[in-house]
Amino acid sequence: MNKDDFIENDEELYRRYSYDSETKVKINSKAFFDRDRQPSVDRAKLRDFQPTLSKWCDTDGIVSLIAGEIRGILIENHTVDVIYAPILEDPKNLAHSLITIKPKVNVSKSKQKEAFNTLRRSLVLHSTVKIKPQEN
Amino acid sequence: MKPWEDQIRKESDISSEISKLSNDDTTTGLDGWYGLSSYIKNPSDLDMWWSTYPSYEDSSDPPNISKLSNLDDTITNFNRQKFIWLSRATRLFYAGLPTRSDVWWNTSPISQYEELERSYIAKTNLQKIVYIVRERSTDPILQQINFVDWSYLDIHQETEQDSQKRKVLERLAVIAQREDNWDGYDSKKPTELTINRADHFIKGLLDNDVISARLLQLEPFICSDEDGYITIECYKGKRSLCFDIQEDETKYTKIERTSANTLTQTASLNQDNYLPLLEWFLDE
Repeated sequence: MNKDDFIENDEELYRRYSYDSETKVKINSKAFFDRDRQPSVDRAKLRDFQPTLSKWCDTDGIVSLIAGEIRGILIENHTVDVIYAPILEDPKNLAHSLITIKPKVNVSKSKQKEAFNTLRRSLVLHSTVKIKPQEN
Repeated sequence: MKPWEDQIRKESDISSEISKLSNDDTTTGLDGWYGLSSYIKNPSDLDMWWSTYPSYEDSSDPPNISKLSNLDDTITNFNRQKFIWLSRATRLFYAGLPTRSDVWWNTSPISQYEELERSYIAKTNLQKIVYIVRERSTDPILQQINFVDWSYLDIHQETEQDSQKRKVLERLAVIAQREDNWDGYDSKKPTELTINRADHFIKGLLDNDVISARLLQLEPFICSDEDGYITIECYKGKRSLCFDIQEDETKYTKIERTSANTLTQTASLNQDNYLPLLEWFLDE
């Protein structure tokens, strides 16, 4: 692994989220939903610390998180990490990274789902809103 | 002739409308119409008619949400019909209210209002209650209405907390309407049992004025997930308290962000940990 491939604990990360008709601009765990249970984030330094560059559309909101804080989320029988996962094909995203959660032992599917939900909810507590989303 | 009597339709017209209404599926079986027939027989017993309204009779616990929505339909129809027989001034006034379904009509003794209101708001998501009382209203608008001696109006204005409670229950009602694959990702719809359990749980929280006032300020996020569970998320400072409601179990997740790391715990909710959890969360 290249030295630059490792995300340092003090690194800032960006996560885009959409306006919600129910909750308006307020963030909740929906912002971290991912079918594969590994929400995407961008490394801020590879986005020149410009959160706008992590938007997919103009109305998107952006929150920032700190890698070390994410790794410090303690969920029973699971490990949380942030790994660098650049996308080299179009649409290319060299800042792309993933928040991962892996079971340390054999756990049921329902426990894995439960753990992911806990992760998403914990991420809300660690989010700092950089750009508020706008109504479509 | 009393001023309102010239507004009353001929009995034959009313009977015709009632026969249509009684064939309406949404009203059959509810008892609101019995008082209506009393009224027709004796128009001067207007207050008697007012005092009868569709009542919600459901002994199931938690209450059956589908019956509640039928009740709302019934009230809408009921009030729309009742509207016809009111004086013109009254009609003009009520035309200014936002929708018929958010109004509850009642002539019960004023001493019972508080209790009735509490139970009724808890059972429905009505946002405004209109009381018909035998006392002169202090509301300047209402004073302009040329009411005769049989009745005056008083309006209960929705408080901020009422509004927040209503929104929470409305949100649950929206979720209750979801179908399978509601999100395009094969997520399941919540079952009726899950909805009932959530409804019971939420109303339990809202019934406690102290807890509900503090929780509602935080604007809890209510949703359903891919398995059809109802989820409730509350965030406050460095803490979060969430509930996942299934058909046969409710789980809680407490999360606390500390200076070193973030501690999480998920377990079944029961009578022993319910209040301590809320205290832990709200006292942050």
